[in-house]
Amino acid sequence: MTDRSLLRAIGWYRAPVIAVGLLASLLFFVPFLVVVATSWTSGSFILFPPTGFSLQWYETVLTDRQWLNSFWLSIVVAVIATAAAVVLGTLGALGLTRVRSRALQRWVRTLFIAPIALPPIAYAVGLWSVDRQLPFLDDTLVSLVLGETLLAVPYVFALVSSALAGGDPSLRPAASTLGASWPMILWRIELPPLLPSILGGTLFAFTVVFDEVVLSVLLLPPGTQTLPLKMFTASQEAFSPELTAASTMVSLLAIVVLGGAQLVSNRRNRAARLRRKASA
Amino acid sequence: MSTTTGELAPPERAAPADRHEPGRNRAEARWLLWPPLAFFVVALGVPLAALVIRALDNETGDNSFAAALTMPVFLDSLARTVVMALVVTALTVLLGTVYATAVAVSPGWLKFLLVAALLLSLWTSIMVRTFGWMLLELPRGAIFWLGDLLGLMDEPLGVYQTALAMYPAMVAVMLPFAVLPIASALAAIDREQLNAAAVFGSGPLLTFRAVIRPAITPAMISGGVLVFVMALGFYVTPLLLGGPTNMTVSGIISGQLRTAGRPDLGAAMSILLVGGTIAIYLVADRLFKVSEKWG
Amino acid sequence: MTVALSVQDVHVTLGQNHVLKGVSLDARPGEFVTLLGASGSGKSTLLNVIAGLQGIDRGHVAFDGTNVEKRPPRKRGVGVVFQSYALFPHMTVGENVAFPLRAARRPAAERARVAREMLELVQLGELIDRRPAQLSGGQRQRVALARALAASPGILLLDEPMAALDKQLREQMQVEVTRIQRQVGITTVSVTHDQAEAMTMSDRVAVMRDGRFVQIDTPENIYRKPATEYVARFVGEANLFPARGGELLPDGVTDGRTGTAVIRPEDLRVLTGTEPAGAWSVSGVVRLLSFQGSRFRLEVESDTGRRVVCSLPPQTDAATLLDGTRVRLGCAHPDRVHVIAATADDAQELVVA
Repeated sequence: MTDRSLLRAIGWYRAPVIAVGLLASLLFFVPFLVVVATSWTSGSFILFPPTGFSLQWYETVLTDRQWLNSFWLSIVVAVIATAAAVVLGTLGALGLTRVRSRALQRWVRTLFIAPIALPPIAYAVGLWSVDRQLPFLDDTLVSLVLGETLLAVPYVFALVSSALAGGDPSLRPAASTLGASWPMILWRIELPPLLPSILGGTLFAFTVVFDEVVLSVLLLPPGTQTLPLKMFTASQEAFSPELTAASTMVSLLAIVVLGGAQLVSNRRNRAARLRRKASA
Repeated sequence: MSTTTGELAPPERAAPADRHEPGRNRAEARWLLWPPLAFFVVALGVPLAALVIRALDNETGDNSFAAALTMPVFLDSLARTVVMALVVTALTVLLGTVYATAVAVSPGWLKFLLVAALLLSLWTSIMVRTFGWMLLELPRGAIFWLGDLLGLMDEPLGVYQTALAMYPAMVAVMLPFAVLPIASALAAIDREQLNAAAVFGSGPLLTFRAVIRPAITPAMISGGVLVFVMALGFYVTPLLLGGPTNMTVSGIISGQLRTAGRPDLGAAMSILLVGGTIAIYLVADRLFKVSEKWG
Repeated sequence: MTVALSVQDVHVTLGQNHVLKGVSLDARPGEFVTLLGASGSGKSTLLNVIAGLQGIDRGHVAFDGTNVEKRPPRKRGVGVVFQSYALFPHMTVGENVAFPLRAARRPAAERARVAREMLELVQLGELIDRRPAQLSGGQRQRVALARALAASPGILLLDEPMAALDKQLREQMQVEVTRIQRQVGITTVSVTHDQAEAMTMSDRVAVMRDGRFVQIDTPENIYRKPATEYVARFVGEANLFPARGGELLPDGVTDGRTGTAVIRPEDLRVLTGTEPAGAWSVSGVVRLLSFQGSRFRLEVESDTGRRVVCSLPPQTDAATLLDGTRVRLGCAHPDRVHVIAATADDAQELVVA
């Protein structure tokens, strides 16, 4: 399991490298733990260390229509945008393998990754300007969903595309000499091995969309808020333990769902490896 | 060869009409690529065009771009944003390299801890992570509490809403984007090369310079480019931690729309930001094949 | 349902490279033809042309007299065994083998029956529910073969079929594949760079070089009567000497040369002092004697600097042929000396070499 060659190459630098890595991991752990800790305060201010222990703020959040509505709105937006991004990103990755010209291939690839580099606020202003020009979009979620989809496409594309690159390039010609039409090749030969990557891309895209706040700032119809936007405004207006309680809950939900998915896929991979080893 | 030179010459062949697979369905590429490309036109092309229209649509009649480029607030924020992005990128790539190496060389349970930290950061929202930093950095926040407890600090912490407050948070937000590509580059290093270096008597430093660094440099660059362009568009974290004196371009743009009521200026600034960012991305992509590392 | 294959004057350009420069090949129904050549000779490209995976600039490909060059691969009725085998990793062995029937929308019962039959044919019936990842290299190759044959194609194409196997398994599979090919009686075109494989398996071998055929003939004729020096060197070990008419010239003499004589190592022998002088011989010093199980391989550097290789029976006394020993080699079978006319494609190479 441990990599002897790399260990030997690193030599005695291993200890300091690990030490720095562990210190860096505090950058990830500590803020999260502080958020969690302050959420169970029994006082009415966010304080660290928390005073007392109570779950009253969780109760407040869970019975507050505003928090719940914004949570569901986020779910709806994320589900639609993720579904669209998964389809578009997967099609793009598959389509790219059919492009013959190397130069064109590079441009298409660049285009599909580009939204990662797009500054969200500037893009949001663009979508907002579209809404101003087309007033019938004004009170809808169309531009928000469209924008979130665009921001999510690169993640799906990147994952599926790299899975495709690792596959056997002769499967497609093989299937075509065996008489399969291109839709059948796509459906029966190419897609099945990609499913794990597509699922990974789906989860990634979903978290990206669910957490995205900048587009919501400008694009939501008045009176509606996604969860991150609700958090954002709450942090600027009323910095109360409600906020950290909500943060904790949504983070734990994400950890349970994504961690569960990770665990399942790890187990499947390991099982597949063991089966292969057993029969070899 | 002598007998066949006559045949070598004739380049007057008819233009190759269809030199790949006969009957290869052009419909195939069309069906697969057109939907996403059409989507890109609608979701990316149209908003960018709307930005241009909005920037030119100016009641006062003067040029919004010129107005934006002569606004000291905008120019200040631009300079601040670029410096910030550069610093964040440098710190992130440096720390990301160490972190990825630490993941690769850690024993089992430490590796689990490091990977779990990375995933925690990827899975929790930027808002939540930023709140965490706020709570740490508030004058009487968690850092002060710890300092006080250890007897190191008796004055409340003065870091909140300063430039210094933003950096750790932004590095923490960006770190996974640097660690992931570098970790996979490390995993892909040819183990035989490492063994060869060891057999020929190379120590850790020489092995790093001769084998490891060349192998991970492309990943460091592509991770760094991505961190840099993403940092240029940073909005939430600087706004909440850096305060009004440390506005990034994104903050100024949103201010033009939300408080100043100058959407044309906001649009002009947006075009400058998008143009600059995409230009940097494209140049970096040509030079370092960034998108190929990611896709 | 085996067909006759005809390839007529096929040209293929890939980018700037003229990969096939007008190749023509005919194969009788049921014949096994091997395309033999070094990498880059165009042999794989020609295989892809026949399969329909590669379009052509001009020329024709015909199955039983019908031009098929415009047909897509899925309508050609060819079975291909790919170098990587290209088994579908997410399907079981049975599903892989039944895939061509599924593509042809045959009923499930027929698919199951054919899959079983085909796996019986390649003697893998018991592995029908395994996944490709659970099979050994040889088993995968059999599955790939069964799959290629499942839809009763007219032509079987093998792309470097043995390249992924180790030597022992390779020899075993050569025999096995030939058995199955004979049993099914299907026209087969195979691609390889391994001359032993080409010799073992084929009815005819087509030697390719630089986008052209150099010689198409039976394995024995390819070996005994190579058309060019390239073929002589590429297939087996060859000693090339200048010749005039049908006669060998003495070593070092090139005046009046009209051709090149090919003498295989097993047709040379070490002369003892008592041999009559008149006959042709070449003398030099021993450079290397190596034991190879069924023979000794003797490498001699002639007085003119030419490298001559000679096969000796395994009971030869190695002590008499130490490095540096002077020896004289003569022709054991003068009747088996083949002379390539100097006009043949690349006969002048000898002078350079």
